Amino acid sequence: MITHNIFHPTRFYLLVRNGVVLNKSAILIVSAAVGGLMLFLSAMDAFLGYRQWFHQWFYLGVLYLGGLIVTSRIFKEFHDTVKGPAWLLIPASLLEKASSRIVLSTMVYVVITMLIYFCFSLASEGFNWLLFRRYHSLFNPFDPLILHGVALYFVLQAPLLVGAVYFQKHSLSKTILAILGYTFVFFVVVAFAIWLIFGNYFDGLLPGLEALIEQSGISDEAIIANIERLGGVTLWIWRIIFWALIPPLCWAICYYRLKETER
Amino acid sequence: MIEIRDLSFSYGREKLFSQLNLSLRPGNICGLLGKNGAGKTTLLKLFAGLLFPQSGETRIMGLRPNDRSPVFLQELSFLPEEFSLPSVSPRKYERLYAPFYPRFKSELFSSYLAEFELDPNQNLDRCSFGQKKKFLLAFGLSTDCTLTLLDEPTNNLDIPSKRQFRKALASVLTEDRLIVISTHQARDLENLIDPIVILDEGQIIFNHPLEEISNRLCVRHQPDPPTADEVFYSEKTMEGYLVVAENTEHEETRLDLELLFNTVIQGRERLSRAFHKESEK
Repeated sequence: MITHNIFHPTRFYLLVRNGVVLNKSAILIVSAAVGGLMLFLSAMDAFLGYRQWFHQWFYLGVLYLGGLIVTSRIFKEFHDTVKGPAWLLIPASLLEKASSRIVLSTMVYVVITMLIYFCFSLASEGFNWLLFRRYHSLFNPFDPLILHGVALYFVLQAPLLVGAVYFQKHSLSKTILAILGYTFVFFVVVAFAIWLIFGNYFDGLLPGLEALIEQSGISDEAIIANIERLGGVTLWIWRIIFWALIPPLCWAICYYRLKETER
Repeated sequence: MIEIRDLSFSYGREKLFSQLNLSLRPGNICGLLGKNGAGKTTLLKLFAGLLFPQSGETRIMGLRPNDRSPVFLQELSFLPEEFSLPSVSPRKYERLYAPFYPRFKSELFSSYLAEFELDPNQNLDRCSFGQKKKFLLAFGLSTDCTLTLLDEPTNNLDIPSKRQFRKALASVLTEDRLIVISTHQARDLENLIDPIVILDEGQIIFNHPLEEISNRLCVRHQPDPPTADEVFYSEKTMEGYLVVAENTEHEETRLDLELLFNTVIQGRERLSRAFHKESEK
């Protein structure tokens, strides 16, 4: 009973399905527009020059640009004073509602764009071959460049999801400004704190440190190797934070924001 | 069904409810009356879990509405005064949302659509506001949920639609079901709502069933102006005075909702004492 109240796969599926079905027209219109643009640019590229990886790069452009727009609008219904209550009262848990929106703006969005793009790339290269007797490599969704781009998209769009759930209007620009603002404030505060605590200490530390190194007989190579090791560890920590911590943290913030919202 | 204990709620610094208590039993169509801004819609939203009380406890079917748990939401149908519908037909809406309600009755939904003269395949975008409202009511009643909350349901409905609405509502009432209707169009719901709950200045100032009301209050016409202490309420009419007084003679008179509302609002202190005195007997 408890798990039924927290997460049920059927309800989750229904929410995702409804999200796709209710936006079917918008998906078709945008796909037609982007597909048309791609057909034109692909033909131009085949005619004027020739870039083997045209589709890979064009798709990544579509993925990121479209993804930013999709993500910034994913909680639009929730912010609406009239539609919001109806969405909150759908008999599904908040975990199901939040996760369905996250999945729609990540996995479902990626799969739909990949499928549609693949079909358009087939058509595009068919035309190119007929018109110019040359064609680009077909779009391969499993290309390592694409897979890496998709993984990076999942991470980069997570903070935008938080912005989408917090800001009612212009969530994209407000989120970018908020991230820049917080980063700036964070570094100013950290720099000020370091200066405040260690300022005087550093003045006398470095000459002493040089003397200490000389006395200990540690070679310059060993010092550089230690710094490199420290850099490597820091990089790994950053990688873990970037790939494994940022997305779930942002998703959790979205969930709690939805949970505490009144309409 | 609905149990509210010492509920307090405010919009920012503006206090709306303070230590509000209310208990509503299933098997009724409860009419929630009040002046504009009395908090009727807010109270319905608190029932639905769309707003959270600052203090006090709200239990509906033994559950906390603020948790917005699926088990609670499956048993709730809320028709707000303002709403928006997706651009789909009623039939498609049913396919999209009915699976969330385990006891949804498709045949009943079809019969309501027919009763309300709605085309199941016409896009809801092309329907008038009144038609959309009837559609939502049809869907809500077909979910077979335990609690139905209706906020000003008869606004924007034409005269035949109001009759259809009353008929549909009366037909779905069962012993385990509670329907709460917030309205200031008291005449539209005459003979349908029972008990009557009146909300004023952040308090439930009146909560009594119709039978009790008619046992304790009577209405009569008199040519001369009444003295203030012998009646609860009076108003001047073409023929003289219409007065609401204590039903000491056990007369069977008909007190319409507007008259009752005015009586409660104007003579609330004395009326409260009279009802309290009677209940103590």
